[in-house]
Amino acid sequence: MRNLFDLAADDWGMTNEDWNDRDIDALLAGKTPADKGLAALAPVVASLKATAANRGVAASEAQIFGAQLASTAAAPASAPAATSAARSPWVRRVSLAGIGALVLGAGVAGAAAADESAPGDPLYGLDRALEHAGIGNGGFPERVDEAQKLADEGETDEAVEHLAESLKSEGDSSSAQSLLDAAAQIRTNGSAQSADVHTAVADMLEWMATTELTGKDFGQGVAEHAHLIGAGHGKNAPATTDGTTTDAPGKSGDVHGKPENPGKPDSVTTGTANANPGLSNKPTPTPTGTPDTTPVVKP
Amino acid sequence: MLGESFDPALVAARQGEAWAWTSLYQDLAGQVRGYLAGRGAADPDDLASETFLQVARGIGSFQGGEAEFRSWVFVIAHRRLIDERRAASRGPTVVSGPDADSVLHAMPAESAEDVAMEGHRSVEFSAQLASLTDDQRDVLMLRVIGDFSVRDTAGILGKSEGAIKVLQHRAIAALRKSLSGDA
Repeated sequence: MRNLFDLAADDWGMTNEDWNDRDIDALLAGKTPADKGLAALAPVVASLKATAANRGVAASEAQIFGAQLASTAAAPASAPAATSAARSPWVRRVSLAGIGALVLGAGVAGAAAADESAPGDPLYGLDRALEHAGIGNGGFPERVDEAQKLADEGETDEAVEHLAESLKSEGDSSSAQSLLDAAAQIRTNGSAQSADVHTAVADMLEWMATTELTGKDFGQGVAEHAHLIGAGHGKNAPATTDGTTTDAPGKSGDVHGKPENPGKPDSVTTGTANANPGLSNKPTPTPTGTPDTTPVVKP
Repeated sequence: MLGESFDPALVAARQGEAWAWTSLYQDLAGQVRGYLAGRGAADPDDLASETFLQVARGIGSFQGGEAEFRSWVFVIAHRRLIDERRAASRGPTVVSGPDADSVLHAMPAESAEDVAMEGHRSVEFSAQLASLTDDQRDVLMLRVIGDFSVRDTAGILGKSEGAIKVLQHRAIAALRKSLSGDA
């Protein structure tokens, strides 16, 4: 019976190197393995470890930066996020409040920058585990971020399907089906890499990140976007049921002009007042990323 | 690894004690920098600083022991790395502002020799890892520089232990092939 390593070896067109786990562990731990083939790599591994060791910090540097970190940790977690717009990009990158502002204010691109792991990514498993442990916010906004990452990688069909699964888990099976149909259409057309499809998906992600529509209106918007995605059109944003028009990616003014009361179906509630957020068709956006307890003020 | 001293350090870190952060930073910063360098960060030291600042901001929400803390720090480092790449793809980023300056200027200045050595190490890194895929590099960096076990690495990367073993096997094979090609 051929094992996984044999199959993998065939994949790379190489002869099978019959290394055992113990030898590999020894090599990667910086020891010299018994296998001669692996032992030849010991200097390379030692070099990698030495490089990391060389990057160690001096005591003086650790003291200085330790004081900075202590000050940061001791700072009130509820620092006003609204001020982040006036701060430097560098500070925003390290500011969780800024990250939240990016999610809500800078749209999908900022949201994706705030939290990068997506399904299939190396860190996605731990990302979800941290969410389950209450670290990181997760939820629909984070799924939008993840879909953005998938779209950025050219996997527009996967991105759309990922959102469909998220909406389905939120209880919005109608919107989920619209997106699943769109994903199927992309695959049927073989248009996952098409610029028009990419633009249409980007349009929808931007809209999802910024829209205040909920309930049936949100579902209608999803259906319209899904239709355009399936048809491979990204230039003309669909009119939403509230009479506004979604903007093309990069525009930030689409929040403006929306009615204060977007019109929720009676049976569906959203936002912070919702006792059971899982019922909402489109949860109120919350910041994503690694641990963040900071309330975010929408810019 | 801090071992038994980790738990009191974590408690003190949450309370903003400088000694605790100094200890945590000194223990992990080298590995984080090494990981970021191995994954191709433009400025691993700067990115490591950003990573720890984010750790400090989120420490109140963290729960777990030293192993979980190490994993969490590497998760953040990885995210910051992707963040940097996205920012680079969108255009130049202006580094300014009093907060950034106060941090950067507080750090000891690097000598010309440090800079030269840094460049040499980067070249070494690139040469050794050029033949690996991103997945393989992730695994190798976490296993070699992060000192994570197969199990921990699988947990961090969201893959099965079997998948990690295949990836590390492929990484080693690629390194070996690269080495024999260089010879």
